[in-house]
Amino acid sequence: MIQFPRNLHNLHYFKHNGKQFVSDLDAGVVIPVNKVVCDVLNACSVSETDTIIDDFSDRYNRSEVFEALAFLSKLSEIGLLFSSHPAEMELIRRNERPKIFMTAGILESRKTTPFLLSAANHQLLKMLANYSDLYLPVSETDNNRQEIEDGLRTEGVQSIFFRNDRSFSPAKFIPKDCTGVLALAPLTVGEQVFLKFNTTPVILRLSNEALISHKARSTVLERCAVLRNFDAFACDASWTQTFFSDFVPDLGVFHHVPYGVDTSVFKPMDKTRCKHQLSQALGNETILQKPLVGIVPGLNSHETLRFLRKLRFANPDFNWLVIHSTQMDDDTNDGCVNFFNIASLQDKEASPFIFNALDALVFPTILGSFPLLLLEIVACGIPTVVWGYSKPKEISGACRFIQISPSLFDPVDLPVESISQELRFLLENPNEQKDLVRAGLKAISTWSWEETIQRILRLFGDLQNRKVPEYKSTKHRLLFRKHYNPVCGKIESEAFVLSKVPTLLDIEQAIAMTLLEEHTPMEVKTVLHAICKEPERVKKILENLL
Amino acid sequence: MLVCPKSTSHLHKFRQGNRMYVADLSQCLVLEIDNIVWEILDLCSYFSSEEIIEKLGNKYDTELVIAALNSLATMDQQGLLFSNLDISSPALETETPQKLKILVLQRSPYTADITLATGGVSVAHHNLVKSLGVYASLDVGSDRDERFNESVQGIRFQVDDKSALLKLMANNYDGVLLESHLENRFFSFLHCIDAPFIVPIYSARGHNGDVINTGLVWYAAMRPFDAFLVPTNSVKDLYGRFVCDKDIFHTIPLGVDTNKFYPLEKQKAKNEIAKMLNKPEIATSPVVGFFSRFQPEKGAGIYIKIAKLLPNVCFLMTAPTLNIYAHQELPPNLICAPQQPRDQLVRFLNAFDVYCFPSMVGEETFGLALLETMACGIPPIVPKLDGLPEVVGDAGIVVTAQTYDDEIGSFAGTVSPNVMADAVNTLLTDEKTRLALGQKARERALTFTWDKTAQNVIALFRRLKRIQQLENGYKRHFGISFVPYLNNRRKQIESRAILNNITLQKERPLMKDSYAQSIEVGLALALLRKHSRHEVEAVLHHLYGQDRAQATLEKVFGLEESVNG
Repeated sequence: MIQFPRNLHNLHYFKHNGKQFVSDLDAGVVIPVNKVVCDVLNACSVSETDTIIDDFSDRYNRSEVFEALAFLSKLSEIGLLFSSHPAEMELIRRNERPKIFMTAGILESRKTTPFLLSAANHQLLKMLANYSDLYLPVSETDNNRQEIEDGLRTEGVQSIFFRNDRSFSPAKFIPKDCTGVLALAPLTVGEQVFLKFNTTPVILRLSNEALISHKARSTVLERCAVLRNFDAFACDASWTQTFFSDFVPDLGVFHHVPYGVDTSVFKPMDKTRCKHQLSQALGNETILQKPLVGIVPGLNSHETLRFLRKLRFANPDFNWLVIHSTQMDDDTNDGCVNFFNIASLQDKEASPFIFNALDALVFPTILGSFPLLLLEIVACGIPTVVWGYSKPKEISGACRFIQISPSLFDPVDLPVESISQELRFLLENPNEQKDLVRAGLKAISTWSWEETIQRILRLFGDLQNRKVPEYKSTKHRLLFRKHYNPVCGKIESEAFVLSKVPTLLDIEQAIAMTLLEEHTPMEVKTVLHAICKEPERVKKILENLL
Repeated sequence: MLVCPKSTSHLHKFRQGNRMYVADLSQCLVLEIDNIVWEILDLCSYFSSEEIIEKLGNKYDTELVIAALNSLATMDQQGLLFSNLDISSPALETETPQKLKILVLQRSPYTADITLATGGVSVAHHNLVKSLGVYASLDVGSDRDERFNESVQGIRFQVDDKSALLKLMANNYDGVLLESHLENRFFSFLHCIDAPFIVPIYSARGHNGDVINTGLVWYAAMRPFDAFLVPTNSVKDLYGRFVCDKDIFHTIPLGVDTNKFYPLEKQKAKNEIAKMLNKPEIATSPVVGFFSRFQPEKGAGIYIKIAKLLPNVCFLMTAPTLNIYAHQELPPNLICAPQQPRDQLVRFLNAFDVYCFPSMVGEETFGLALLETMACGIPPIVPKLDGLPEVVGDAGIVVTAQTYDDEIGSFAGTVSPNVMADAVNTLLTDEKTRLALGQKARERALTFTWDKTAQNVIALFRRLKRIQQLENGYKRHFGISFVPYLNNRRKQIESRAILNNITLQKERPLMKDSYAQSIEVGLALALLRKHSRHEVEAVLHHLYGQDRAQATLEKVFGLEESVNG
């Protein structure tokens, strides 16, 4: 379909004997038109195609509007009425308060999201509402409609009610002058449509913790493919993207936007007092006798327990505290291994004291760990041993680090021996501890909620500016056809550009050219990989076109 | 100088900024004009040129006025500004609302001289257009825009002329008929003119593959409401081997004017031709006729060989030129006559006792010359190749031939001169059978009339128009995504397509939000947004082979139909 807005030639409209005409003075022709075409022409230099279709739907029936659009597209193809390039997209007016459309997925996922993530998102939403207008679609037929609306209002989010009707997708309700779509929860399948037939930038919040499941990782790969160059992932962990580096050519879609740390709550406190409190709370005297090592798992519960058994066996002289916010079968509790499940607001309020009771932290930079825990614990001045895919940038690498390599399918390697060595080194070297704590605290001081919000708004601004197509299609029509090859006597297929001098193209290249007009380079690459035998050719075709 | 008064009801003048323009609504053209022309156009529908000069003389320099009138006269000669034909046509339409309005696009001008034509295509086209005129009002793309007769209007245009194209677009034709599929310069019109196109294929193979490739280009771009007109099923069968959509081929046999081609008294005709060519043996011996271009593809070599095999029989051929055979010694019993004017042909053909046409190029989609000869009551002998057997039916002898089905670009088959000669000999010695077959040939020819052809073409246009009405309207296209997929069971990354349940119009027609599909189905759906069904067929054929392509297409079209209705 023809894309508006477009700049128009020098046009003159007139009526003659009751019939409407428009003359294109640049091309020197007169075109008989009907009322609909005339109205579309009047609107199309300022409005987008979608807007025109919507605005006209009460005046004309849809097929009339589509007929008019098809007619104009034909005229455009023979070089009439429109200048060759679509008008520049209107850039976002920076001084205005941004309008952000939230995906409804966040409402549903609240029930299933671990408490910590849910609380962080809640905080993010509240902070974001101070800087922008937030909208969230709510189904008109929802039974708790009023309740939801009230709930959202307290968070500063405006509800947009929509009829749950097949003739409309929620994508229709994105406000026209919207800065962008923010998906805090993974897009539901239905919400993927925000990435199709829309020109609003979309930021997908990527929670590292949620990527513990294979299915979620697969979904990220799928989303990567359909992200346009004005969409992005906002990762809460700096290491999420390293996992995907082998599968996604353009890591530019990943942006690091950590959650904020409230340093007035998470700060170093009196360690001895905290240890006493914890020991009392757990009814475990041994906590005061042996060093207490905190563990944030990032593994499924089965693997976590295996990990713990190994660590405990290698280090009988430590106490362990597993800090988690998901369900865990803690049947191994023998006094050395303790569990702290942050599952409510009350737990959350207790957490600064509990973190302060730790002597060291073991944290994995793998998919599945919750990065805000690392920040909050480091903010409490706890020295850290990190194992995983990459050094955590959020604490400027202020940790003892053990590298493991990411792998798509196999279970994670558990470097128990190295972790034990590093832990011992750390606990025996107070100076190293001091250095790490100092560097950690300094790094943490930059991660305020303010910073999180600014990063999101800046990202939306960047994406808005990027809304120019990566790929410029040829002016001419492409034709695929069968062809008799007299040399080998067979029917083959070929493609060519229907310019004055038809140019032959490889079918694969022509497919790529056609698809690039409406699909992302990643999608096209996926298709090419499926249809070309040699990977080298795929590379060459894409390099040629982009 | 422009001769006034002239009608200006189809002209519209306007100012834009400080410039002046006149729009010629019948030619879809805008011209920039000056003050004087502006005023002339005001006056010229009421006053004569002299009066105009007089009236404007006191305002402008007389010479300038005359110069303006002269330049307007030049435009008039080119058919601009003052040739208004649209005024009368609406009235004509209301009188005969049933008549279809058909645009004919052809290479040669409408009045092309076909008295000497030897090419079947121009003969066929000329006759078809003439017969169509009874049932439809025709606009013929031509170098001038005047009425040829009551039903045929010339429309002046050049392919690159945008205003001419607009005029065609605005004329709301019921159909477009091409001269033949080889006229591929009209190809781009498919994208502009919203009417069913009928594209005749008169040559299906040979020419080193050029003709089939031009056919396949049309095939690729054709919309569901366009059609190929083929004169025999043989063409349909040939293409049917390569393309999925066989329904686009419609067999409509050509015709023959049986009032121009009819049996004469044989001996009298033979005597006259013998006298004309000064070859008395024509009158006394049996005559085996040849009536086509004299070249290897048409079986000229075979014909010469047959002549050598039957030295006592007279072989009489007519062709514009002998080509390479002019430089070789031909058997004495082969008489070469120069090309005959079409109105003389009936006499010439009647001098044949049998007609022998050993064509082997495989481009005989029909054999118009064959039918014309049959109409004169001459029994034909042809090889079993292409469309020839369909025209001959049981009214002649069809000789077994060796066919090469895979050969499309050059010779499609060979026929043995011995076998042909045997058939000729049998027929010449058996007078009873020969005369009976001659009678049958005439009777069969009578069933092929141009009027029937025209009626069939009109019926086809009506059918296509109905298909177009069913096709048009609201088309839904789904959003398709192509994504990698982590197959955990097989431990590998796979590709798949996802049909997102959202259309371009942002509707959600299906039950679920997304459906995983194979890459080929996704690719077909994605390409269909911009490309024709036949183009998608070409792509799938290339990637997956013919059978899988067809299966995928059926699936995809089924989905489209179930969503759009």
